[in-house]
This record gives sequence, structure tokens and C-alpha cells, in this order.
Amino acid sequence: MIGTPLLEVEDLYVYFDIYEGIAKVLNGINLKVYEGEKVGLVGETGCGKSVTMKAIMRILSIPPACIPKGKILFKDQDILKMGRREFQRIRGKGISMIFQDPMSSLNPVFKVGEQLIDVIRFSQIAGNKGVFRYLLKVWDKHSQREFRTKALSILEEVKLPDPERIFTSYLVQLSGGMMQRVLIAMALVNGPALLIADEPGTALDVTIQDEVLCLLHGLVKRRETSVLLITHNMGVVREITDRVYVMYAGNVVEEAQTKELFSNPKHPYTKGLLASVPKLTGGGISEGIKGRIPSYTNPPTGCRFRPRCEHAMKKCEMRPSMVGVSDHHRVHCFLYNEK
Amino acid sequence: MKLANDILRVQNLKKYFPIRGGLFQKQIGEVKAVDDISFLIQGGEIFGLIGESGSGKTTVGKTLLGIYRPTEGRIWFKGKDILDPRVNHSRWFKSEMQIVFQNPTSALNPRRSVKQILEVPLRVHLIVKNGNYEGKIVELLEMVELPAEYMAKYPHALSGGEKQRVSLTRALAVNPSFIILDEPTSALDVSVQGKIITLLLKLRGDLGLTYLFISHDLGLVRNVAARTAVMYLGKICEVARTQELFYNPLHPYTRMLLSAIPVVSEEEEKMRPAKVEVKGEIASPVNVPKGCNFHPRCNYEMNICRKKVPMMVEVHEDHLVSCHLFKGNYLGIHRYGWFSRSCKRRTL
Repeated sequence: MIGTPLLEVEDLYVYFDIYEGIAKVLNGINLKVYEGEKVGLVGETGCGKSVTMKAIMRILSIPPACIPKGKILFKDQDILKMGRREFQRIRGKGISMIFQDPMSSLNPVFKVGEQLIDVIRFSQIAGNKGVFRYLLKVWDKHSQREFRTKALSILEEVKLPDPERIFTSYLVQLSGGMMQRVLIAMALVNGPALLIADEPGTALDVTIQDEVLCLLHGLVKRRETSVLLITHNMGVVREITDRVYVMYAGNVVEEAQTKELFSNPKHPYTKGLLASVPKLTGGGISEGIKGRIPSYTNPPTGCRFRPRCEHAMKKCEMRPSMVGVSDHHRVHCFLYNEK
Repeated sequence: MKLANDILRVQNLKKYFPIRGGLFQKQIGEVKAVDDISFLIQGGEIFGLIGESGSGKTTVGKTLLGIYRPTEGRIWFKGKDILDPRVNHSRWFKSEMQIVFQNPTSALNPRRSVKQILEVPLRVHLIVKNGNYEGKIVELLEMVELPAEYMAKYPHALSGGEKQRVSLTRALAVNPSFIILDEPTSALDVSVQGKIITLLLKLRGDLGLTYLFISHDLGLVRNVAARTAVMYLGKICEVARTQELFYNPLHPYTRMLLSAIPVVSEEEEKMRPAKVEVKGEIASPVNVPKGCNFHPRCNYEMNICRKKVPMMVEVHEDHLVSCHLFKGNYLGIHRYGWFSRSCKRRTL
């Protein structure tokens, strides 16, 4: 781990007020993304990956959500305490994101070019208000051509064939792979320091997914962008990231360097998860992990994995702390002792 | 390979969907969803069918069931031509062949309880005659490892894995011998997937079922199927024993597909073919490329590929490839009645 942390999530709790009661979804999340680092956040459906992402992007709807405790520091500034306009300056230029489903995150009635230019233009005037904002808007009319060249160059950079044509096409005229590329272009056009990718390529076929991920990998490497990759696909994490956080039921249960995690998983959940991925080398299918994810309104006390864990002990009714088993490898489990 | 034991034979199956347009809804084109495929499934076997979205996997499944009527080609199930309406509409055929759909949420009626869902096949197929549906349903639920209380529940109260179990129970209710599994676990998490697959394998042993396993997850097919066919744009491009297919992929498309899978261990990385550069995207089935349908994306493209559709040839024993790069025995399945007189001939 080199340099300074770009993004730091400290002890983040997110609750939702729903009909059944209060769903305690995030239960003290800690994560760090350093400059130029590619970090993975893996977990199954309903483990709180997307809630974490939404909290960082400040797109959680409050209420029903509430954040009773925790800090999200971006370049040492607390995002949660910022004003709306102040955060608008960060969104897009500082942090930007790629959404999961390109089909539903782009507008079908506007041309790709218009949407791309909107992103560029908005980032220029974001955070300003009143007369100043108006003047900037008027000034924009003159820089329309500049925006266009910028948009075309980014479309070219994501290796879209014939950027001029893509620029004037609607969403329906593009294939899934192309749409995903447009989304990547949109996320990178303002040169963000941190890119949050929420399941990129999950909606695509394996071959196209591979192509898109390779492209993304190359682009962020060249631009030295930090990446927080959120996914349920263990294979994708292994191919792309440097460091991984594994999430289960609103807790980070294990963090390690990618190589270390895949060769030497420690937490019973990580072990079970890795064993249940069908292998190309054969060897049959494992039974998976028994039981299912607990209800968030009434989660088990202490370790939330306890009811499904085969090593569960009396001690597990208390909350375990993150234990460092080796350099940069920490586990949220009583089975291991601090090294 | 013995031919006596085969349960399903598909010969030159084609399914084109018409595209209509203009003032009088004239046919202006067609979607070639399934384009001339032949295969054979043996009794008790798990036959894997893999391919990307839009390659026609699901259309094959639906055509076999008789949901779609094929444009051309013939299908024999247990020696009977299922395109004959007397067979197709018979209760026998409908109870012998069943399907489990990809998305359990949309496959189950949200307004009906599990009991109501499972009662229908039992009533229609006259499996329960004395009106004691509950007894039979409990028995069926036990088979898929669900407790009897689940009878009263509605689909929204079940988790994804449980819904898929109910969906499977509905298929099993009529005592089928052949089940089409259309991506049975693609909507589920990996840790749940394992349980469903183990259950499917156990049921196959207990009830002597045959599966057509349709999936886009190559790792899963590797561990489940005995033989696997790879589909691309409505055509089968390679068929082999699963082990053979994964350790020795021949068709350039199979290689591309295998090299693109993200893997989780070093052993897998070693066996995976070297990274192949992915060129372009799957063509539209409305406008299928001439000659070999894979040639615009192929790294070994030759002149002949643009002109001539490759034939299915047997390169090794039980390893068939449809590619101009390979020479082997042409088994003649496309032209000749391999199912009738020349039964000795080894086939797909």
C-alpha cells in the first residue's frame, strides 16, 4: 500500500426505516482506497455492496435511509458533512462511477453525444450559483465546439469504432458492449481521481465482458485513476484488482492483497464462497454455504455469519474485531489471533 | 457409443422467426435463431449447451418442448416424431418432457400459493386420482428438500433458491424422464447455486432423469455435463465430451470463449487457453455472415471461410468441430438418415 489514502470509509453505519422495523444494513464498514490502487469489494446479493457505493456517492435517499455513525473521507474531507453544492464539485471530477446496467442508466431519448456533453458542461458549472452560474452557462455556448472535440476524443479513447457516428446515435442503435463503453467514457471524461465501478460488464457476455474489462484496466492504468470495483464475480476481482474487501451481511469480513486472498483465504465465509465457484478444472460442485443471509431487521448478535458458520463458538456472540493475520491481511473472526 | 440408448435425436433443426413490416405485414426478413443443428442425447446423460446470449440456446429448448414449431428439421423423442401433433399434444409427451426456466420469479404465478402451483400438473395429468393432492405435494416437496409448511407460502415469501426448488418440483410432479434446464442457476448466488446443482444431480441418480443443461456459465457446465455442445449464432460449432472440450478446445470460438472466462485459481489459469483477442461482437441473427458465421471475428480467417459453410467433422473420437481448419471424417448426419439404416455409424 503506497501513498496516501484517497478515500477512507470509517466505521460507517447505514440503517433503513422500513415497514418491518429498522433494517441495520451497514454494520461498521471500514475501507480505504489509496492513490492509483485498484480495490475490489465482493459479496453476494444483499450484502450491502451497493448501499456502501450509494453512501459514498451520496445518492442514498434519506429517509428511509439514515447514517447514524461514520465518516467518509475523500482527500481528508468528510463527504457526509459537505453541503450539496460543495459535493457537486467532487462528483464527476473527484469521484465518478460506472453503473451496472448501461441500458437503464443512459437516457434513450437523447443522443449519446448530447448526454456526454451534458456531463462535461455540468462539471464546469457545478458548485456555482446565482449570477456566476448564469454567466458560466452563457459562456458555455461559445465553448460548444470545444466540448464536442473533448467528447469525440474520449469516445475514441474507449475504442468505439466510428466515434462521429456514435456521437449522433441513440441508445437503441448501440449494442450492449458499446453502451458499456459509452458509460465508461462518460465516467472518465472529467478525469476523476476515483472511479467506482458497480458490476461493470455483468449484463454482458463473457467475451464482451473480457474486452470491456481489459479496456477499463488499460485506461485507469494510463490515467492513474484509483478504482473501487464492486462485484459478485470472484473471477473478475482476481483479474483486475490489487486488494480485495470481502463483505458479508453489512460487515467487511476479510481484507487482503488479491493474490493472498485467493491463495490463502482465512474467513470461513470467504473459504465457502471460493469453494462454491465452479472450477474449469473440474472436481465437481461444492454444496455451497448452508443457510441464507440473515434478516437485517433482526440480525444475529455478534458475528453475523455465526448461524451459518461451522466453527461457531460461544465467543462468536460478541462482535469480533479485525485481526491482522499477516501484512495487509485482516480477518473479522475469532478463529485467528493477532500476529 | 451405443445408439440403442438414445432418448432424443435432433436432425437439421431450423427455427426462423419472420420479421413482418410494410402496409400488408409482408415478411421482410427472418431471424435465424436456430440454423441447422443436429445432436443426439443419450438416456441418463447430462448434455450441456453453451453459448452467448443470442446464440439460440433457449430457442432450441423451447423448440424441443413443442412451444415453437420448427421451420425445418425433425425431432425424435423416445423413437417418436414429436412434430406429429398426435404426439406433441398427447399427455404422454407433455409429462415426459419438462422444463425449468431461467428466472424463477417470473416462472411462478405470484397470486398462487405453492400448493396451488403444484396442484395443477397433478390434476391435469391425472396423477392424483383420489383427490389427496396434499399428500402427494408433501412427498414432492420432500424430494427437493423443502419442508411441508411451504405449501401455504406464496412465491414472494421464498428466496431465489427456494423458488427455483418449487419450479423444479412443478417439473418433477408429472414424472418426466427428460428435463430441459434453461440456465437454472443464473439468477442465483454462487453459494446457493451449489445446493441446487447438488440436488439436481441427486435427483437424476434417484429418478433416472436425462438433462439438457443450457447455460452460459462454462465453469458450471464443465462440472455438470458429460458432453457439451457450443453454439454460436444458431449453429453448433463444436461438440465433445466435456473434459475433452475444456482441455483441448479446437474451434476458434470455443478458444475465445474459454480464454475470456475470469478464473479464481492458478490451476485454472494454466489450463485456460492463451488470451485470444476478442474481435467485434456477435452478428445479428437477421444478417448472418455468409460462409462460416464466425469468420468476421475469427483470428484464423481464410478465403474459404467467407464462401463455404463448414461441415461438422469428427476430428477425434466423439469430438466434432465445424471449422475449415480441421480435417476429419464427415459423418454425413446432415444429409443421410444416420438414424435409420446406417445405425452403426457414430454420430453426434
